[in-house]
Amino acid sequence: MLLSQNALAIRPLNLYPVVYISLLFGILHAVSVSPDESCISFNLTLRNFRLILSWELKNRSIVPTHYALSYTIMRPAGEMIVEDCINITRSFCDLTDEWDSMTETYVTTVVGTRGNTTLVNCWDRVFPALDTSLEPPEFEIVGFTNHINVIVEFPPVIPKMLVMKNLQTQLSLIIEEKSGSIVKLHRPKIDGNTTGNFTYVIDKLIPNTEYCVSVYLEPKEAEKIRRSPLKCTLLQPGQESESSESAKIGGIITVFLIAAVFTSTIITLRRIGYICLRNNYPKVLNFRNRSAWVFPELPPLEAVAIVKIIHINRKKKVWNYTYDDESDSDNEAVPPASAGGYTMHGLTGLCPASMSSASSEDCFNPDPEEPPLPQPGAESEPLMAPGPGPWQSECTDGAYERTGNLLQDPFPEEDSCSTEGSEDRIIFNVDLNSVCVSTLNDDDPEVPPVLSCIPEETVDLEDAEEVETSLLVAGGEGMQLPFPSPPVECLWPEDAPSEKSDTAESDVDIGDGYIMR
Amino acid sequence: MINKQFFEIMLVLLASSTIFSLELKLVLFQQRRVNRESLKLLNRLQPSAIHQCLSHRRNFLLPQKSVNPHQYQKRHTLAILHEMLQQIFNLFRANIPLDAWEESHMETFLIELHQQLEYLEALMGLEAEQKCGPLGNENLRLQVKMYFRRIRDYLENQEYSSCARTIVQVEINRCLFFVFQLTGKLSTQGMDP
Repeated sequence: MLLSQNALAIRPLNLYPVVYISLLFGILHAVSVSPDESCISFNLTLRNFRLILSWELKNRSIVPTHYALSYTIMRPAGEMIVEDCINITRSFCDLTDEWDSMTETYVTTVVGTRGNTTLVNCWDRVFPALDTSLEPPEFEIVGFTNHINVIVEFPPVIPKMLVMKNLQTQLSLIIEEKSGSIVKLHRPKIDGNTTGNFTYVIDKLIPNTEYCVSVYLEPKEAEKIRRSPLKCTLLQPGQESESSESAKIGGIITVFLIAAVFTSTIITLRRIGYICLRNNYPKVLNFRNRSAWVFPELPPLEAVAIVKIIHINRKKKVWNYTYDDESDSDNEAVPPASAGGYTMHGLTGLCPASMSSASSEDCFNPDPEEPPLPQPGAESEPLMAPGPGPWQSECTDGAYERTGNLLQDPFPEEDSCSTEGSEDRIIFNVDLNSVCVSTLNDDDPEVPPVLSCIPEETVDLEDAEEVETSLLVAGGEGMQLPFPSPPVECLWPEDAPSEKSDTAESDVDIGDGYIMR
Repeated sequence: MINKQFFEIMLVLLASSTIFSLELKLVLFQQRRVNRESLKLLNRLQPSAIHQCLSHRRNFLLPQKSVNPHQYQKRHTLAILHEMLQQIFNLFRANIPLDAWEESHMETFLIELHQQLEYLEALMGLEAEQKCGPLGNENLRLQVKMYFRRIRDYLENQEYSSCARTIVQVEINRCLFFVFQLTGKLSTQGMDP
């Protein structure tokens, strides 16, 4: 009985250590068992270009007070402990300076404790190339008249995980521009040197229009994009700073253009000679140094008086081809030559009605020996005075009157006709110096000229003044001596002595019917 | 005569450029589909398997400097991309029993990968014609081949254990990420050849 009683007493005592040890091993096993991957979930986020790993326990009933983070990679390497994330109370850790490869698989372990008690020991794999969530960066917008400045905040140093060896980033910055239903994407280039405030200008916008801007990062191979909240601005029309600058620039350009056009116009007009005519005439037209003038001197202007010519028909002495002295003109009935007077030679039809009867008889009864002379009016040959004589330069007065006593009949009565040719054509050789001329009165232009025929009797020189007024002028109208004879006083400066000798000098040399002076 | 030949050469180059541009667009489009499928496969990797196999980790020495897409021309990028996809295709076509991946997803992934390889081969043929000669990328291709050789040797040594396959799966994740970068580089180089 005792043995059975002792056996019963020994069995419980032997079981206590076993149970104790079993319980001890059980607890230890529970502590040292591999982490349950399902107890935790990791979130890898790129926030403001910082790599933040946050976690959350799936069993929320367990709330540790402190956490410790460690990780390893799938290549042969030890456990890497993050010193900044040991015994932390927060449930996230900044791994920007720890993880440097996007293609590496990081096996991350989080141990949660409370006091000295470890409540959780969870791990999970993290593949940054696929698991990183890109949060949009911070940015600001500034709206102007027709453009918007987008200022994106970059860190002083971009994480080495995001920058490859050639400074190209694993990310792409996208700026989204929205206006109504129109969406436009802008992709500014960023690299490892992009730091600080990065400004991007969205230009060519419509003034007075509302635009909204959103910014986000787009990884190379990503399925999820997280956009930033929209920031909108209304572009104001004609902002002062912008409009004033543009107005100034426009004004300057306009003034410059106007000045250029004006200058070019002036230069062109000057070149073509429209303005500022040149004084440098061609050499051909330079007359300063010429010694001899090519052009003749123009005669001095003279007042020309319209005069009418009184034709006096004079017989031309016709030579009868004899040298007989008897036929000399001395034996001929020389018509009484007036002392300086005139001899009518039968100019028919020339005497107006106002003529005196005596003179009219003489006019209409010309010397029968004389052939009929054509009317001077029929052939109004321009009686051109001979070349300028020396006396003409002295006497510029055009009007003058001949007096009978100034002329000597150069032609004999019979032969005073200077006609030539046949009876059908009569050619006059009239010496202007031998015809009666008188100046027309301006007061009575319609008064027909009165021809005062000089009778065959000699006219006394003393009555020269009376004869002057009674002299009739015959001839064509408008016959004007281009070189009117100067006044009597100028014509015959030697008249005074000649007057006295006219009667005595009956044998004056008359030459060819002209009075020799 | 010379002008005529020159004109003909120019026509061929222009036609090749046009075809090359179209082929490149197809390559880029298809590559994005491959990337999308590979991401689906990678996301299905179980974390517990990873933690249990930490002791089986291996450094396969991925030639990062060699496969850096920013230091090569377009023809080099094409060569590296083609070799890497070819090796991945061969590795998965061997039907390595990777428990983590379902067969349907694997089949879809292989189909997309095969199409991409065809586009790349066509593009490389045009590139070789334009350059009038071999591409001269054998050294780069050799480095990629050696890398995948090390992966196969590891699997054989580990007798295709679950941890070995898990470790290889993780390594393929890194390799595909470089493929993503090469695709992006090729897209950029396609704009400015």
